[in-house]
Amino acid sequence: MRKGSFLSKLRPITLGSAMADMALLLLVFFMASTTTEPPRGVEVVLPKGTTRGAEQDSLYMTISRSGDIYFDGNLVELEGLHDNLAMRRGEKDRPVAITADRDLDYAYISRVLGILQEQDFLNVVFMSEPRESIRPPR
Amino acid sequence: MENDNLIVKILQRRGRLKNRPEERSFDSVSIADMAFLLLIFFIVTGSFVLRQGIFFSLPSKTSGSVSLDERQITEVFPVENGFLHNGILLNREGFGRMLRERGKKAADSVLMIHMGGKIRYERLVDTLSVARESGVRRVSLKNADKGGAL
Repeated sequence: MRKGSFLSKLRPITLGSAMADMALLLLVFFMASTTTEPPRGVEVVLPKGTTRGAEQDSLYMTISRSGDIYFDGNLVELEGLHDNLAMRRGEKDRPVAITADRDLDYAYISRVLGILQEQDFLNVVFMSEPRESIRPPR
Repeated sequence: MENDNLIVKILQRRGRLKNRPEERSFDSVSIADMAFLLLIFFIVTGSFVLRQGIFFSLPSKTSGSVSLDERQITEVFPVENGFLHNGILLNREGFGRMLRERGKKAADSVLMIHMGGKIRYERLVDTLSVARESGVRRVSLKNADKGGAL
């Protein structure tokens, strides 16, 4: 490069602050818009239902097709579930998201609902896949 | 840094000798690095899939009973191939239509779902879905084998 030319006068600049701005902006966006996967314990096939609104900040319970209950990702017996809920009495205003297999007998759900009612956890969400074709009336 | 020299102070006051502004900067590259690292972490661990469900409130143990007019109550027995209402097997559309008609006749109607222990959970979710689609707000869940309502 010739000395004194236009290109030689240009100074290289680093866009560190701009990069930081952009990265923080994207970071805030991702933090606000994404959710973390709840502890499930077992894979289940969800039933289809007319859903409205997304569940947030729930206690998670998964019931497999064979009736195994996972509370916050850990396998528990019915008595264990009773004790677990009793220990978390302070969180009874949080909804309990029940993720149960669609082919599960209702008898299992009934028992779980009975325990929830006993322990005063009265807000329940039956997790389901949204039914695409039908929209609920507003 | 302050200059204690009196002449310098006078000149500064007169504006003839101006303090050179100090160049202040901080290294933002490390912040960008950290932000990108956290960003990648959130992209990898996060999920955009909204978990949806049907909200249901259980009655409290201490809640009292309510008396309802018979016309307000609609009883249904979900079965594998439809909805049994007054001994008549209805399909999804028929059941929804019936609920809407009953809702027009009696305001604040209650749907009482009698669930058998051997009936699949999917049928409960479907029944609650039809109730929601038909505008039924009050639902009572009853174990058909045991009795007792939720």
